[in-house]
Amino acid sequence: MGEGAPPVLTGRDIAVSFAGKTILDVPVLAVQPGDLVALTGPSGSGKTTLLHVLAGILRPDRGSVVWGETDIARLRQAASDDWRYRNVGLVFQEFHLIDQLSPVHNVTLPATFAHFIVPPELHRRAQGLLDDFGVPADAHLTRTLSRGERQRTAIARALLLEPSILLADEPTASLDEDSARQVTDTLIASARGQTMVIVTHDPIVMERCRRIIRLEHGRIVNDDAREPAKPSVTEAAT
Amino acid sequence: MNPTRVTWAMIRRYPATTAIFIAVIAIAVALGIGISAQERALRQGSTAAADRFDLLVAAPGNPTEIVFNTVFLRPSAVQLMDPEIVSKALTDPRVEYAAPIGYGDNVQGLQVVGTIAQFVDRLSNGLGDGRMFEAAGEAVVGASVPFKIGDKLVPLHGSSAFADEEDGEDEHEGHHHYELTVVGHMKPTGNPWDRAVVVPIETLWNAHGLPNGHAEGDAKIGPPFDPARVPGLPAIVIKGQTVADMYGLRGEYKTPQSMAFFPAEVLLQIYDLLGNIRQVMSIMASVTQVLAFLAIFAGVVALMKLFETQFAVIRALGASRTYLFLSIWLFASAIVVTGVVLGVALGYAVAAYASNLLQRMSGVALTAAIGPDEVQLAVLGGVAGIVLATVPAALLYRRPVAAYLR
Repeated sequence: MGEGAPPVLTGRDIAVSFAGKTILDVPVLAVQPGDLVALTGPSGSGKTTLLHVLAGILRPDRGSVVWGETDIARLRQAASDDWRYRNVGLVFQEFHLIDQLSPVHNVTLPATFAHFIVPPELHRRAQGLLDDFGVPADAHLTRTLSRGERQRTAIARALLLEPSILLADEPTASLDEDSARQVTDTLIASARGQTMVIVTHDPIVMERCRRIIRLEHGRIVNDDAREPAKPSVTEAAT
Repeated sequence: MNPTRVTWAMIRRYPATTAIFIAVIAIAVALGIGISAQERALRQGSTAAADRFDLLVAAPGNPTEIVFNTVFLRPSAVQLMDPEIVSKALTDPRVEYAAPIGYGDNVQGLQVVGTIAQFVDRLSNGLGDGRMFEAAGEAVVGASVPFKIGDKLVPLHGSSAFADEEDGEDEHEGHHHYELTVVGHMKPTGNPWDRAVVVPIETLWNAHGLPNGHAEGDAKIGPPFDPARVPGLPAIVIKGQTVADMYGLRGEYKTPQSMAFFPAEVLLQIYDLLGNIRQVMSIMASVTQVLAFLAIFAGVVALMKLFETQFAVIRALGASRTYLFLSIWLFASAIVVTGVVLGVALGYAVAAYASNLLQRMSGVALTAAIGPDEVQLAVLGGVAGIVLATVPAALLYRRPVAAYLR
């Protein structure tokens, strides 16, 4: 997907330092539209830092991070927040749902960033996503869900506003193998034309990605394009 | 933008802590509200109680003591007025009425007060039931007195105001061997006279073996009195024919042998003192309130630190800093507003309870109410709290997102 098209992401000379030490140094990074990229590498290799830079959560010390025509490294805070709201869906390792809210309210939470009352179509979309992902719609509180259900709720939250970019930070790391497979299926299946970058160590996830970028000591040491594995039964069913 | 969902989640996450925060603020606010409402209830109640006591004439001494004796019926041993001054006051042509006030006996703990029918009528604005006393052995009882018309009462000698003029036997409690018949009930007056047994002054004079204001053997009661047969008295309530007469009488009876004053003068001094006490206590209550707010907000900051990852996630999902600021500010403000509202209710409840208690103890009708002063106090406290609530929000909303997402 997107072969030959201009890259949707072009990063140049990206560097992040912490306490005087360079923890990320990426001279160039290009991602095609709709690509499915796994960022892998040992702990402390800069995967999450790079993901945060790509999400506009962390401003690099230098370099440019151009998504489409927007260099998010140069955006002011408010503009960066707004860009992320409009373009990025995020999934975290520990789900980071609000336990005191219902799954639907968690999924529709991003809608409250811009709306006083959640528009009915977004509410319906949230319900639909939860139904598609097999999360009990009648669950009163999110904390009553299983870990796999919670991560699928988090994916639904990331997809609510139909972002063009989906970024995930070790989405299966805290799940058992079955749940990890289900969540991976859900995540990959939901990427309908979206560009997806996933930080992961998980072979289940990596085998489903088209491109695997390996980082060590903050640098890209390997960048492999490959044919992804076929979807599992779960994804085929969806 | 609608951050209330996050605010609600914070409240639900720590309901007990939130409840404690609210309780602390409610108690701090209730302190101020209660003091203010109670002080006003005392002022209004005592003003109303003294309203019909126009001008008091008494022997030189402490006017406050005389007000307490005659208006609030809390007798203490006071010096009696010289009979000459008493007879002059009782027969002064400028007075509409001059009501001698005598006390010293009790019936089952209820004060027996001697005066004239005209004053009873003025106090009670007509009787509620029965008729006015017409003879020395008859009594009219206050609205709160449980005796029925026709009941026979035998007074006991209490701390007699006539002690100075009596023999040693009468200085101790005991029977006077006189009987009273209840003939009427007063209407509620809102002052301690509601709990009094009111008799003709002659009854007390007779009981204490004093000249009874009339010719020897004359059973007549009330004015006019025989100037030669009037004994000393603790106090006389005078109503002048005109306002000018009142001021004239006040000046005339300010002599080395007597004092004359309007009860309001004494009450104003008491209110002044009460006002000062109230001011000090209000300042203390305000300081307590501010300290409570600061303590709560320090607690909120500590509590919100437990939410830092959640806040970082919300920001990472695209929420603006304003959204986060409002979430935290609304949480702190919700605590403040709920605390203030509950504080007003609690303050009112405490003031109402205290008023009720004081009313039962003193007989002065006290009505605690939330007035403009208390509303202003609550609104000021609430606004101050809401403004101060920006502090924890300001401390937390700018935290770097990435640091809390790892």
